Amino acid sequence: MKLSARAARYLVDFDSGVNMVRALARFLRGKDHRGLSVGVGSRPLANLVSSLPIRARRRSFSAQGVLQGIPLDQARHISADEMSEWVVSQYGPGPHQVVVVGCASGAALHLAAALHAPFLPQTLLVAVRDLETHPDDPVGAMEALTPTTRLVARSNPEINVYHMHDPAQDRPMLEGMAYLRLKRHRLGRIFERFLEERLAPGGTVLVVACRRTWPCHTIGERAYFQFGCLGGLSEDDYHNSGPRIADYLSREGSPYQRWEPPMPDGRRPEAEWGFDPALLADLELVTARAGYQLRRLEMDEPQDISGLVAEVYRSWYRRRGMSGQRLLVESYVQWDPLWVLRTGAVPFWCRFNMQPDYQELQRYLDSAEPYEEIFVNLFSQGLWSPGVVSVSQWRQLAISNATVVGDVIGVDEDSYPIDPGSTLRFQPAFAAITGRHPLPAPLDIADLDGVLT
Amino acid sequence: MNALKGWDASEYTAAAGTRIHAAVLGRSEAPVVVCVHGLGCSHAYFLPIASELAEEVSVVAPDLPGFGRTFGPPDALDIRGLSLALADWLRVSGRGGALLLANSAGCQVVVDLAVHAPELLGPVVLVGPTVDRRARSFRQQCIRLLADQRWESPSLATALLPAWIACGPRRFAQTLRYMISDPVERKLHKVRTHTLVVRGERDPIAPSEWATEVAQALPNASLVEIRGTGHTVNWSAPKELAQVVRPLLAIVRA
Repeated sequence: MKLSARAARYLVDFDSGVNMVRALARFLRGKDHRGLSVGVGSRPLANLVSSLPIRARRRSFSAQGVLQGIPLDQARHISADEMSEWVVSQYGPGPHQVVVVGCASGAALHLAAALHAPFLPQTLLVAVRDLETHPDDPVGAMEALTPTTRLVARSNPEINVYHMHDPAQDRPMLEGMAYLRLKRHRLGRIFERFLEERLAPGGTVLVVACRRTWPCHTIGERAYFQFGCLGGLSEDDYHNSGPRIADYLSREGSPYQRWEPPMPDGRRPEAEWGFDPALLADLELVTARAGYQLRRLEMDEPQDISGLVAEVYRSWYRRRGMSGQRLLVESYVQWDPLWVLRTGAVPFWCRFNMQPDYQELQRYLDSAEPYEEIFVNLFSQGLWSPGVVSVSQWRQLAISNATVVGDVIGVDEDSYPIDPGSTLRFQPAFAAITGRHPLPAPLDIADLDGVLT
Repeated sequence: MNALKGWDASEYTAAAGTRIHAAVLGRSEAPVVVCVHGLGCSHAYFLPIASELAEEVSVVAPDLPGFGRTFGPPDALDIRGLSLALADWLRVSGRGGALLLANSAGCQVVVDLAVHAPELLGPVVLVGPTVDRRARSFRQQCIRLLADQRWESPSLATALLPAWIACGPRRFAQTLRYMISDPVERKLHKVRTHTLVVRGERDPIAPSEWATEVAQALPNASLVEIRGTGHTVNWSAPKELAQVVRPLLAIVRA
């Protein structure tokens, strides 16, 4: 198989890092992020999928997991360099004035889009097929995958491998696959070459760094097991199961009453969203050698910069003579930088559809100048995870804070959050927002002096 | 391995994850000149210039990984990969600070060496430096390569043909791709040692305008044109090349 095709096959289409790369690469070519850049944006098709019986919808998520995963015996071919090669092949020859490097974040995506900057992810997700282990048996899953996790770490010395296992949010997917997150601690020749060749002389490398950590269990050299992840549950909920988890497991019909994960032996950068600062040494070296600027955008939680980016957009719109009175709330990877700019919407990114995301949006709306219009779109993860906020609550939040109109868009309320049509529906919903604006010239990095370090 | 015709010795050094082959000619105690070959080439096409200088210096011509007699990784190394291999070999063989005489893509490797290992650089001679930033495409480079054939001696094929076979078309094409995208002009200011840019008067691969630009961007360089020759001056005009290289040898001796 051609190397870039193999990398694309090994990567997971709903991964945040992959979606940032795809959305930005397509945006830089003037295209939108319909169907997560691998499918179509079609409301009738989405409605057809959403009208299936609940069991079929739920199974379709598990089936996606099985299809996204690669057979276990192919894990020896997993190559972080091939993944990096795939990333750089998505972008044009440049030269770019700014390149964004680091952890995934929808807010950083919109910032990168405003700067017309490509994004080089520190972390990418590879899925391996795993039909044997039960999602609620973390030790069993860890032990089954340990040889594979170690193998991938051994054959890729520039990455740390995280076997991430979250039966709360990723439950349907875990029925068919196991998550291996590959996090770079070295920049690697391919990203280094990208910076040397495609970043304009004197350009800027903008590092997006989320300081979020999570308890991990070490299973080998540069190989870790992370139980749970950022979402509706706390670290404690995952590691010391209480009645809330017992209730959730009983609702899911699980034979388990509690989770008994392996004992964590330390805290490490969170597998999906956290930034491993080990990468900074290489970035400092490369930027010093090539005469580039190195700027940082740091945060404690991945969505911490959502409000900041929203305000950057609002003031940018206003400098262009637009009202900046329309807020578009996106969740997880259902983002679209092209339609945000076309509709003149201020983007606010929620990491997921959970209680902490709801509270984050609420805090922003309480502090920001009121918006005339607020539209909220929600990702569907295939089950009622603990902490999922209902559509009506989101709608109520939008209505009560908008001075003219507030609504939830692109969400099928009857099937949410077990709605496989969600990814087909969000882009047509964005496109249905009225009013069109010409695409602006890129924002200058100097305009962000107040927010970057 | 067969003994090398025309050279004194053939040496192998464990470096850069392989065993790097180098051909040696000249006085063993004398100052060292290290020859860095271009795309698809090997030590072989440095024999004429090595013979010219053999009385005064020790000429060592390594084969970079994947070329000549040095095995390389399955996928071609990019310019940084080649310059890291050269740096490793220079360190292991104790030849850091030698005069570096490079031809064509070898010039890109030497300039890149200055980015990450400037301490290994002695005086530098860049013969027909590539890639002209105004011709940064596969098509343009192929046309120029063909146009150059008119000015090259037919005997050059005897040196290059075995090297091309050893390198193979896949590695040749991959390396050419890396060469073309390498922004060499941005790195020239890193070469702070005495540098001589040499171009063949008829060389279409490194035209006069580009060679002048290279010499101007180098902090400490001069430009020399050798009359009536093409791109591979080290093969077609070794006497003239030796003549312009000699003044730099005094720096190595010092």
